[in-house]
Amino acid sequence: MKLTERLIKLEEQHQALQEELTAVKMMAYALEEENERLRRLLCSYTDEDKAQIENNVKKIQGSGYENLVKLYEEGFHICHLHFGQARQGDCIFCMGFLSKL
Amino acid sequence: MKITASKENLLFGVSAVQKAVNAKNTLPILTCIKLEAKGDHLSFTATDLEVGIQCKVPAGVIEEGVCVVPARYFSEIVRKLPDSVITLELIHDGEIIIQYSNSELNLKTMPADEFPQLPVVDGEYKLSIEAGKIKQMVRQTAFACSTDESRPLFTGVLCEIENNEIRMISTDTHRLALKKEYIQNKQKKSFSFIVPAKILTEMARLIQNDEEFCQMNISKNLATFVIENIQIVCRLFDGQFPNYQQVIPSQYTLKVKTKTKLFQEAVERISLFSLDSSSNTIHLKIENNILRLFSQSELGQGYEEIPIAGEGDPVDIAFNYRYLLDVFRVLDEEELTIEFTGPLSPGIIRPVENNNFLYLVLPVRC
Repeated sequence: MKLTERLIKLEEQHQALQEELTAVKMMAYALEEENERLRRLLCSYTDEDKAQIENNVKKIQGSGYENLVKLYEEGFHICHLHFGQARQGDCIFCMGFLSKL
Repeated sequence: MKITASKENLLFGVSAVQKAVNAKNTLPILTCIKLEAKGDHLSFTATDLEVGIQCKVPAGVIEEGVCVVPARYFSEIVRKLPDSVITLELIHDGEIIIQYSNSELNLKTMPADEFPQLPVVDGEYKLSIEAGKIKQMVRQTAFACSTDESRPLFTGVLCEIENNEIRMISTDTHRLALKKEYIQNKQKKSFSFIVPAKILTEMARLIQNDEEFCQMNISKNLATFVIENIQIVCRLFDGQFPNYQQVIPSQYTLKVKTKTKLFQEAVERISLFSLDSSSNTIHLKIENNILRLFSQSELGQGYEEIPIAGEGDPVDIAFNYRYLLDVFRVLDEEELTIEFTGPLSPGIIRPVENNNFLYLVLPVRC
């Protein structure tokens, strides 16, 4: 193949790459805009909505804590080392875990 | 192999490695002690594949060599030998002759090449600590370890090295002992490992000169401790020790100071009434600078008052008296402090004027 033909082919490849780059760039712009829009939507919760969410979180955590206390009181470990195993006497790690929560 | 040695040296060597011999091992070679005569010493080696101990004692080596003798019989023989120069000679048909005065004993030996080699530990972490220091650290922590083999992690002592400080922590989940000491950490690396408490206790027992240094060589799962002529190789526990710092209360509602001996004797007397009860409970009531100890069982009841210096809210709490007596045995200081955060929260015992030791004990619910 002659040198000029090779140069023309290279130029065509370069052009195709540039077109693809432009297309990807457009896609990135679109994604950035969409991300911005979603962020705005996320922050648009009212104080009432936020309070509701926080209450739900507390409720879930509270019931989890109560379940752990109940499990411990029934004579089982709740520390990560022996979780669910029967315990004899109090365990400092279970109690440390409960006081940390 | 042919050597001469004193009974004292032979007995020292046998006693040093005895702990690594497991008489119930299914492999007969592991119920033996390997004797190796080389240079100007006789080395004793025993292993149960979990721990290996080697001890070198001075001996007059006439002919170098190796032999493996049954630990039980050999140690019994050595114990009963007279205090004179003993000659050990391995003869070709697999027997060792033990000569003393005008008498001799013949003992069958095992093939020396079957005896396992102790692993050579070339660990990433190396440390040198005064033997006396480590002996005291082991004394003040190992007692709080669990003896329950179903939870192996708690039968070990956590050793933490951070900057120029070494900490040993042990717990059986009902109480926790923490001891720290200053060391020269030339490597400036922080690392931690869990060593079986029985190995540390044995090492502490074998320390004869507190001025010597204990050389530690720690790899991922093996550790070597070398003190004078004794080398101990052991496996380390693999596992994550629980976060012990999280269980140590940072505040207290009552802090009392009292004489260690006074408190110990009062607990010893009052606990006599708890001997037969399953809970081993002793009640402590603290108010107006008075500590009242109380205990009762079917045997009767006891009550005692000791003066204390305290500041904070009154407390009514109960402890397992055994856990209290355990810590009194390892406290050398004349005075101690106890910190309380409530009747159901752990009490913390510390020696006065020594911030290097801490003992946390859970109360008993009544």
